Amino acid sequence: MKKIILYTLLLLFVGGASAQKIVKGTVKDEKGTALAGATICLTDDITVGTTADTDGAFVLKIKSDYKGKIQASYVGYTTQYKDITDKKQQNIAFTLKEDVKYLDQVVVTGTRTPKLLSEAPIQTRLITSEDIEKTDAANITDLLQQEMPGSEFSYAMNQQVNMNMAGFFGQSVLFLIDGERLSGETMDNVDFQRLDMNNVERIEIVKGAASALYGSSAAGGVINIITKDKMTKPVSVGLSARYGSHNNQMYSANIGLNKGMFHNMLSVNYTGIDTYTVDYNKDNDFNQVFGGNTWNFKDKLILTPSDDLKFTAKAGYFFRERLYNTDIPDRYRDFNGGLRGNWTINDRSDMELSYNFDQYDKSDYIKAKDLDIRDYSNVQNSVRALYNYSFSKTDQDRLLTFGADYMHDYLDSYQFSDGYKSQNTADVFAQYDWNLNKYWEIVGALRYDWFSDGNNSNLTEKVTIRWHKDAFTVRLGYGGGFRAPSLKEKYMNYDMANIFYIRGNKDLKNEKSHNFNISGEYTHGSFNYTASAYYNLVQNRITTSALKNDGDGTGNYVQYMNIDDINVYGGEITAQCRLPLGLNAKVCYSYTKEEIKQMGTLNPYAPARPHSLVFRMDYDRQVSKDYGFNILFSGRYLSSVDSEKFNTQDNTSVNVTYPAYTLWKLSFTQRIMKKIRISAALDNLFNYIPSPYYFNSPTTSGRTFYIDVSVNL
Amino acid sequence: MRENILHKCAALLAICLYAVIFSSCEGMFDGIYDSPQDSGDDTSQETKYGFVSYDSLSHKGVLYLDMTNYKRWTYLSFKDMTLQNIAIPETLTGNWDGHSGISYQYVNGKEYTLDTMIKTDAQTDALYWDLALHRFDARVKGGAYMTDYNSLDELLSSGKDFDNAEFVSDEYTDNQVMTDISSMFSFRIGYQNINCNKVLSSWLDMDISTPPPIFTPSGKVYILRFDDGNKAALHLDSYVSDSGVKGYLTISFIYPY
Repeated sequence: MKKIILYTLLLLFVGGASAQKIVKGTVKDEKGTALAGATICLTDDITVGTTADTDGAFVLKIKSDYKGKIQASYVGYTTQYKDITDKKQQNIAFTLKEDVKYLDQVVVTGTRTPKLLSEAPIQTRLITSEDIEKTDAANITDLLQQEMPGSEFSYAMNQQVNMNMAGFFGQSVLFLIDGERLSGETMDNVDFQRLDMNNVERIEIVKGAASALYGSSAAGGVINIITKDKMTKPVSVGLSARYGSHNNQMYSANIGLNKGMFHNMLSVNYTGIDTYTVDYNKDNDFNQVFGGNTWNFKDKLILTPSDDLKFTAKAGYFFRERLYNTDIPDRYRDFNGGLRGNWTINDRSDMELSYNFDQYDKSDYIKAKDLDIRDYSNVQNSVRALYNYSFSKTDQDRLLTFGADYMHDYLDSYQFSDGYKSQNTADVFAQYDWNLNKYWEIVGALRYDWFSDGNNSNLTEKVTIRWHKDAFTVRLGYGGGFRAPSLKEKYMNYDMANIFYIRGNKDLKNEKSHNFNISGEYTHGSFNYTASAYYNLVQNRITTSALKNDGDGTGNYVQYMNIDDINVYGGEITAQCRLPLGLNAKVCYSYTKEEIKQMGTLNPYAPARPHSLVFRMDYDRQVSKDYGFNILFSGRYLSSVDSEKFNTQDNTSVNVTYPAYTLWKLSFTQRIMKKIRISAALDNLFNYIPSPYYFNSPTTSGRTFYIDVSVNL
Repeated sequence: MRENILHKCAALLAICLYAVIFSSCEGMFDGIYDSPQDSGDDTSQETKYGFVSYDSLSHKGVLYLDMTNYKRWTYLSFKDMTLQNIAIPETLTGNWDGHSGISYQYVNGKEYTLDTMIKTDAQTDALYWDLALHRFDARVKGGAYMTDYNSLDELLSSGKDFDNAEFVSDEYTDNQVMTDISSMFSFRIGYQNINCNKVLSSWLDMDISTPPPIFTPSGKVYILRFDDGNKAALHLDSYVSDSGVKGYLTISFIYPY
């Protein structure tokens, strides 16, 4: 009996020994430094793994019949994969490269030429498609509030959305889609609902004056939304659906076709949400949040007949209905289209020509009479040309950029009393980008803008210096900004419900700004730290006056006017990293201070909050080839801010303090077979409910939820 | 090679040409919108307001009224199918009746705080009238009752006569009939001190607590019983003109009901 047991144990031992093989080796970086603590595991089963010792050495026992890959990973480095062979004992030497994925991204907004993020002479904040996916943002307002401290979207009158980005309102921050301006505005802000996150590749944000490249309305910065145009599969289909609190629904579909020189991407997006009430307080600025729905159709066709020639055609239609008065909903439509040609002329030069059409309409739909009456239309036709010449064939150490734009701007509005207005605008600009050596780069630009209405013109300049060595980058810059008075601000004559008139002012001067900025950046592996500071001197800001009455029987009115100098200064600190075992974290703090010397203005908007912070931490794990998950915890904090509320009756102001608040979100996302993604999220996790609801309070009614399912084929 | 470059230049030129051609464009897709027909916004053509149609067989008719003026009442006589506008007094010319005036109230949410009251003459009424309207406020010579029906056809198919309904009479108010809204954005509004019918006035709620006002129609049919014993059924079909200007009432009615 003893012999039988002994033989059985021996068989088991032998059998066990024969079912295993040994993989050993080292994990080092490119300089040969041992990466102690690096994780080594089977790609298909990460539960079979070990860690490297202080010499970077490891030994791993695996099943002898395993025929897959083995991987080595270390924080700050790109994971490396190796094949397992049939040998009973295998030696593998892993050499991991530093993970600079984030900084390897190409950005274009700062100089209108492609630059690696790490080499961009202008500090550019990048929101990647991965960030967008993690935040589950439905549109640009959701996204910026979650990702960018110092950006706040609050209500203006009539629940129209107003943006404040580091002390600049919507009319001074230029929103672009693939480099093209958006027509139309309401209360001086573009229609943010147009900017859904469906099919967005990345968003580039350049804070500070950028008028030397982008002209009017870029005094506070530029937010450029870059849509996807790279497709690898012949046919790709993406579908997604979301359901959440307040009957919030969102559906989207993307269809991509890729054959030869043709690439086409069609996307359709629908969102809808019910009107909901918020807790009543007699001091509320709003008691309901009005629902509505949007449709957004976009098509982008790319034709590449040769390596050096690329044509892009796009067309889009946007529709939004807002239920402010349920029986007369407001409707907003946009029709847009464009053609762009990119030609790489030779090793040294390339050029781009484009034409863009954008028409933004507003109408009231009178349900009882089935009448859809348009009362606003802004049509912009633009032609652009851009030419780059490099003085070196092999390296772009000296790059000269020339550009010119022409736009016909047409505006017909219910706010005009004497018919439509239109004007032509034109500009030319040049930029010289000079890499003095491997450490220093200097960029200078000059732009001349001309507006036919009033024969107005403006000259803007900028200069930036970048110093770079190893993991450090320092940028120092000056940029001019300006905003020409719009047709609305010049010619408006609007009866505000028999209460007072809002009058335009033909004598308005250009709003100008001078932006000085400095930033430092340190990057090591997956750790990235940035700190920046800026100062803006804003002159002749355009706003509305206090209530006036000339005593001539024309009644009360407010009028657009220029006000005295404003100082806006602040700074920002950001730290982001990818920690071991799939942990990622980002924290960003922003400080903004506005100093307004002269009031006497009917300013309906809340000022910037001095302190704000966004935080995001997520744990991501790919459990197996077919299953992975992500848990994300994120939030934002906005400090209180002191301001004044203006009384139109007696032209007096009363002090008001808008309280601080913080909102947090927890989401859980599962990835199944690389094709299916299921997310569930709790927003406003700690159930913050404002009391009262000011215009700049979050529109939350308390804790909310949503479930999101997407399929990519 | 040279030909190739020429082709590329031609293609780029075509883009430019296309762009220039369309640059003069001042909008497209006009056809998807409606044009306001004879919108009725022109207050000089007052003849088109009032009892614009009436079928003596079905007793059905339509009223179209310009209620944009805050400073007058419009008196309607269903019996005569007539309309008369009478201004709201803004001054006191004789002895004060003890209540007529304009009360300036601070409005905070749903709370009213009296600031000042300006004494005025009493409101002059029309000689013959059944219903008086000011903006969306109503006075009834008799009483009003709100039904559950959403249209006159629904009402007719119910066959109900409402003889035993509880008709509500006008009651005194100093915070409903807005006559001076010039300080609305400071939440200080002048209201006429006058009797008003709160039941019929509920056909359109005008919430000013968070300007601009939010309008919410009840959509219901109202039964009016006049002092002469006749009844009328009213439904507010619309409170805007064809061009979307608020204050133009389209009311369908049955008289006598």
